Amino acid sequence: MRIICTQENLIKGLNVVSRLAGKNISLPILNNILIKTEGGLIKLISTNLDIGIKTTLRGKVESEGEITVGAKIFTEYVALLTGGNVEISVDNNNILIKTENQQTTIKGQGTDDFPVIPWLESGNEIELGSETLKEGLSQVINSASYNNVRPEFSGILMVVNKDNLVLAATDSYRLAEKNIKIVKNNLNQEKAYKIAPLKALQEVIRICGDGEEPVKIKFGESQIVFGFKETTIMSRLIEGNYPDYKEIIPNGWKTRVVAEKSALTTQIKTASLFSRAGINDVLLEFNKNNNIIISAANAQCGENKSTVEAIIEGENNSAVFNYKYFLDGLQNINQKKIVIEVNSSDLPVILRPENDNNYLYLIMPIRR
Amino acid sequence: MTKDELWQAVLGELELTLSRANFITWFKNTFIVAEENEQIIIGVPNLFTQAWFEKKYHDLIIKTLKKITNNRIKNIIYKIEVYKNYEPVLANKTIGAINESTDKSDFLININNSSGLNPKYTFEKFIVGKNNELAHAAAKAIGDKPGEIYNPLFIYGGVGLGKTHLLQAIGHILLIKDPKTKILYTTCEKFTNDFVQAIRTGKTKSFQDKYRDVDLLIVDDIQFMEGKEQTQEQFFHTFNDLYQKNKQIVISSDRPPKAIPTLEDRLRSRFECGMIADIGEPDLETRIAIIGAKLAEKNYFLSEEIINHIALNIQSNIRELEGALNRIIAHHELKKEKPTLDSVKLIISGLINLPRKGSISNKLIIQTVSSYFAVSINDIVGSCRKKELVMPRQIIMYLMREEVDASFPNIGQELGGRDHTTAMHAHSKIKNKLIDDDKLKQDITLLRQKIFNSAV
Repeated sequence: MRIICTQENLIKGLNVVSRLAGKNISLPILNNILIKTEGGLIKLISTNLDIGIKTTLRGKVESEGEITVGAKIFTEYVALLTGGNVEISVDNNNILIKTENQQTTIKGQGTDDFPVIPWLESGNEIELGSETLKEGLSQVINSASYNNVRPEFSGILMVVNKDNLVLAATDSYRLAEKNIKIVKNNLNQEKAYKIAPLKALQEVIRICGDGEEPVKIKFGESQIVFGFKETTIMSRLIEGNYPDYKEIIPNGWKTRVVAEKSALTTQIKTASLFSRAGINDVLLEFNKNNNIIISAANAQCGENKSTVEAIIEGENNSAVFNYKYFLDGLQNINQKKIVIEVNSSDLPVILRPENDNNYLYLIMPIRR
Repeated sequence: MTKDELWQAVLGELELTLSRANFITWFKNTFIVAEENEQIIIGVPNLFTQAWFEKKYHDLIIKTLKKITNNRIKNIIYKIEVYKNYEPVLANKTIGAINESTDKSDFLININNSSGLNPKYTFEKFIVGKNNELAHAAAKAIGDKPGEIYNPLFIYGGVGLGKTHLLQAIGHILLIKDPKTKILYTTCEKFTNDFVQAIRTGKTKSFQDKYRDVDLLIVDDIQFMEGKEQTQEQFFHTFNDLYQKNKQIVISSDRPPKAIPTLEDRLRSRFECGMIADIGEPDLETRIAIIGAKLAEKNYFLSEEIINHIALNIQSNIRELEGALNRIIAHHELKKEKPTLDSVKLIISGLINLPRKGSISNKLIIQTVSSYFAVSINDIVGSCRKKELVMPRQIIMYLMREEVDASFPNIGQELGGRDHTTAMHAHSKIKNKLIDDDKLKQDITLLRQKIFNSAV
């Protein structure tokens, strides 16, 4: 094998795939990146047996072939090169790397033991804009749970309807739901209902470009594939049933608050300094005279009380929240004004952007 | 040959031809799903394994299968399936579990931290036996009428016998009856810390509010209040205040109030004015019931004779019992074997012999016992035969024999060169006395705990 590409392109490609490779003790070849040529294109591939990533490296193929190389050493080495063209050739499992002023040999490993990644070929797919997908995923991903007690909570629920995709995530203390428009729907079933693992979606967010480059999402029986222009990510799906979360979303409200996001964020952060460690409790009181009183007290370091102006309809109300969950919700909403809908101090409270019904964030208050 | 045996035979052969890393990665959680007309369906855990088997190991697997079955098998299909051990036991329970989780909308939880109760500890999960009948009945009665009948309730018993469980169960039942009940569960250490904090920040008022404005105050491990005079005084006032208002107080300790040496008399007499109930070591039947309940909780199956064996061998401590169970389950799930009496015996023998012998030294016993009876080591090994010295000395000899398995001449040697007959006499004397002397029993139990704790 012999290929030539620019250092810049090589770094870009390695950044996409190298994060998956590494830290696998039981099967050392998983710490490697597979470099192979395929019909005149150079492919970089890595996998951890849950997720697989492949990306196309722009460059010139002089002769075909394939090799695997340790991701860590290769990535770190390439990052230190000074730019210009890089020539990579393989000689008997040794990788020779040549640039204008350097020559290096890195020991590689044959490709025989590198796993076969089951990319999906079927046409059961939808298409949407990559920026829309990135925004949607980022708005729900911090609500998913990192622990594996309930495997279905360590993923994001993806429900495909005729012309929209619903993303939902919860860790049983809060829940986020986002509604995204689909550009093209080529699903061969009416509805799809899948749970994709958190880790794979973090990779997807990382790779999603800023432009409106289209992304294809293919659904298989037990796998999901995200196809970008140059990169493809494949992951297994999480088995299990997602709880019927719609049931717990309250239908109405007793108190409706519209407030400035930035002011609210600052004051809750301030109060958080005085919340009790481990409980993280901050009290929010909504008064009919149009202000929110935010307070927290801690026997060890003191107490704090502040007021934020807001437009408040309905009854006086109050609830105690874990400030982390509340701030996560505020951060997820990319608008100046936030709507808070409260029923009582122990029923779920909803945050949403003003004039936008496509997103909601629900928090369970802390019972007093 | 059953399906499982056939697959084990295949794995046995393959293990020899493949590298260990490859073997473990790819053949973990694989099994034979079904065999029909010369065709076999192999269950694999994920797509990667499926793709890999089809592309890479197919020839190898089919060759091995043919060899083992004398060419009976002609074809293999790979299918993604979840490996389930012992299907008959688990089948209906798993279905139940799935229903439970998808069932209702109650998966969102209000975090209830203010009371400090652990949701695991409820009356439903408490196994009643002879050893804890009284304590359980008293706790139940308090659940019905808090503050009216037994106030305070003082529960004592050794480590890992369920004091905390019972204490918290009272809290839970009151919360269920009326969610607005103000319950405070605290440990003696937390009470002390809060008090110190309150003095330092000058906020004794908020400390008082916290502890006095409750309907039920639970204080765990009160024996740690030993020697802390200020804390004892503060607790005394809190106690009186709550008692006056007919609020329920529940206290636990590892020994009865009388046996906590530096507890102030006014506190001791108050602890004794309500109800004192002890929790002893569970008897065999209770231990069997406990194992049964834990197994149901963990969704695991063990045969009756295995359960009997565990119950017979782990006697003193419920926490240890649960640890042993966890270990047994983990061991067999990892190895994917069915637990047999022999395999369990092996694990148990490893467990009960592990921490004791060896890590406990004669020296440790001498130190612990002499500090417990507040006599100096020199006096203990010396030749004085005062009454206050003789008893501890004999206890040391007894413990050395029981816990370290030391020889009698050796014991005599350790204690200032005494004769081996002295040691023998001491051992048999304590042993006989233990049968009907409750005070001595209490002392020995406590000493054992202290020794084990400092040995680990």
